[in-house]
Formats: sequence, C-alpha cells, structure tokens
Amino acid sequence: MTDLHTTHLHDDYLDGLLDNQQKAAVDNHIAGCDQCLSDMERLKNLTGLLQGIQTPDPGNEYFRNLADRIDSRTVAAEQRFAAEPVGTDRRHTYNDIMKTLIRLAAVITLLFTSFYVSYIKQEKNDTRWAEKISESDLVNSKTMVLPGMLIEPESDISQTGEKSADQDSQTVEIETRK
Amino acid sequence: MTDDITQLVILFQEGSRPAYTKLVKAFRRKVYALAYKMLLSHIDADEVAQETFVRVYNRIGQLKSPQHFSSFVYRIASNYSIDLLRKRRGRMVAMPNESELPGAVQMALASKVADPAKELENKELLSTIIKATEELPPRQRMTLVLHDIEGLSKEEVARIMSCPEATVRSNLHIARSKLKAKLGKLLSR
Repeated sequence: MTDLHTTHLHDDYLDGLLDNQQKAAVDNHIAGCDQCLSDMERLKNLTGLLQGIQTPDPGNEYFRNLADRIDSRTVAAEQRFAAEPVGTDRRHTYNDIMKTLIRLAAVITLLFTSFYVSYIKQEKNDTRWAEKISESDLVNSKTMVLPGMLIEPESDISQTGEKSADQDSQTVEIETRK
Repeated sequence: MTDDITQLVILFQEGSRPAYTKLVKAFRRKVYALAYKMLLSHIDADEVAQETFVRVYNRIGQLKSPQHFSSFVYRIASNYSIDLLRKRRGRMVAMPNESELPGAVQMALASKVADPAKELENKELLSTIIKATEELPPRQRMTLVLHDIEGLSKEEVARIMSCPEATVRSNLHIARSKLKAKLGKLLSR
C-alpha cells in the first residue's frame, strides 16, 4: 500500500472486512497521518453513537393491543378478498404486474431486433446482387460491341447501281441500329 | 433463525392461524423498532407494524425459504417504511413528540449518565444525529438503520433490500460520509 490516504478503507476496517495485511497497512499509515487518524476517530464515534440509539419502549400493553389490531386487520383483509367476485383476482401485486410488463417488453425487443437484423441482411444481399448484375452487364456490353462491329456490313458502295436498292436498305438498317 | 421460528413458518404456510399469531408476537417489537428508527414517529411506526403483518399474511406463499422469514418480514417493513417516508417527506421531526407515546419514554442514547449536563449534551447530540439522518435519501437511511443501528450484517441487509452487497457497502459509505460531514466537530469530542 502506498502512502496515499486510507479514508476509503476506514469503513471496511471498522466493519472487519480487511485482511491482516491491509489492516496493518492502515494502522501504519494512520500512525503518521493526522487527517486519516481524525477521520477514523470520527467514524468510530459515529458508528458508536448510532449503535447506542435506543427505541423508546411503548410498553407491553401497547404490544398486546397491537397484536389484537393486527389480527382484526388481517381478518378484514381476508373478508375483503373473499367478497370479490370470482375472476377478479386483485391479488396481483404491483410487482407481478411490473414483471409481466418487463417480460413483454423483452419479447417485443427481441422480435424487433431479429426482424431488423434480417432486414439489414436482406438489404446487403440485394446490394451485392445489384453489383454483380451491373458487373455482368458491363462485361456483356463489351462483347456485344464486337458483334455490332462484325455485323457492320461490308461496304457495297463499290458495287454497281443494280444493287443500290439493297445498299440503301442496308444503310438504313445500319442507321437504325446506330 | 431458530428452528422454532422455521417450524412456525412452515405451519403458517400450511395454513395454521395460531402459528401466524405466534410469529406476530415474535417479530412485532423488532418491526416496531425498525419502523420507529426510520420514521421517528410512534403513529407511523404503529401503522407500519400493522400493515407489515397483514402483508406477511397475504404474501407468505411467496416465501420459498422458511429460514429467511426474518429477512422477509424486514423487507416488507422496510419497503413500507420507505414508501411512507417518501409520502410524508417534509414533515420534520427533530425529536419524537413525547405526547404520542403511551408512557413517559423517549428515544435516548445508550450511555447512562448521572450528570444532568452530560444528559443534556447527549440529548442535543441525539437531536443533531436524528436531524442529519432525516436528510439522507430513503434507501441510504434504511441501509444505515439496518446495519449501524439495528446491527444486521451486510449480507442480511442486501437480502432485505434486494440489492447486491456492493450496493449496501456503497450506500453505507455515502451515508456515513454525509453524517460525518454534518456532525463535524461533534464527533471529535
């Protein structure tokens, strides 16, 4: 233990929760530290005073009377419960209701979380598919350029006018394709 | 807890009314004392004592371990005391009103002294302590009452207040620190 103050250990010291080594360390420190010594003394005095607080004694007559009143009150409570119609059990305590609400909230949170996680996964899958499709589109579009180039008819311009009608139609076709 | 009490609790759980009556007689003084130290009022302590045992009667089915009956009773008493304290907060009672008590008795410190001057000093000191504890939050106050005044162990306090032992230690440390600060030089005598 360092020479730092030991005030954080004084409660445990008085409550007997420190081991021998820790107690010895606190004792050694207190021997040379007025602040900690003062704190320990005040704490001892405080706990001593608190332990010495006595409850006033109202007397045996009071306690006999108390027992009778408890008995009457218990009987009255029993009769109240018995008088309630069947099915309207109001013995659910506040704690029972809270427990039910907490369980319900936990189930809803679990359902929501699982739904959200599956939604996110689906989104990611869709994104990946979209990326793959666009990649394959790019590849296919490149190969399609070549057939277009091959399709490009050999020039019939050099041919004679007999073929000019055909030539014209082919030119139109090319222009259409473009 | 003694075997007799455990046996009575088992009989009570089986529906024995005489067993319940005996348990009331065994615990009524302790419940009254706890409530009084918490609420500092005979009328309030009386109310807590009555209501505690009615609730014990209605909830005995919830007690799974008969050997922990005292913790069960204390828990009900402390929870009701805290509820009552929160409702009636603001009603300052520096010293208990003697006219409320069925006899000329009052709260006192244990040290019996013949010297009137010392007795007056004790009275003033007690008044200061009570005032200081009144300003604590309810759960810190209850922890202090159960551990430092009633003398229960931290384990038992944790069971009564349904919290971890570490929380009990923390609440106790904070409550004591506040009292040390408020009582100041009075504790250095």
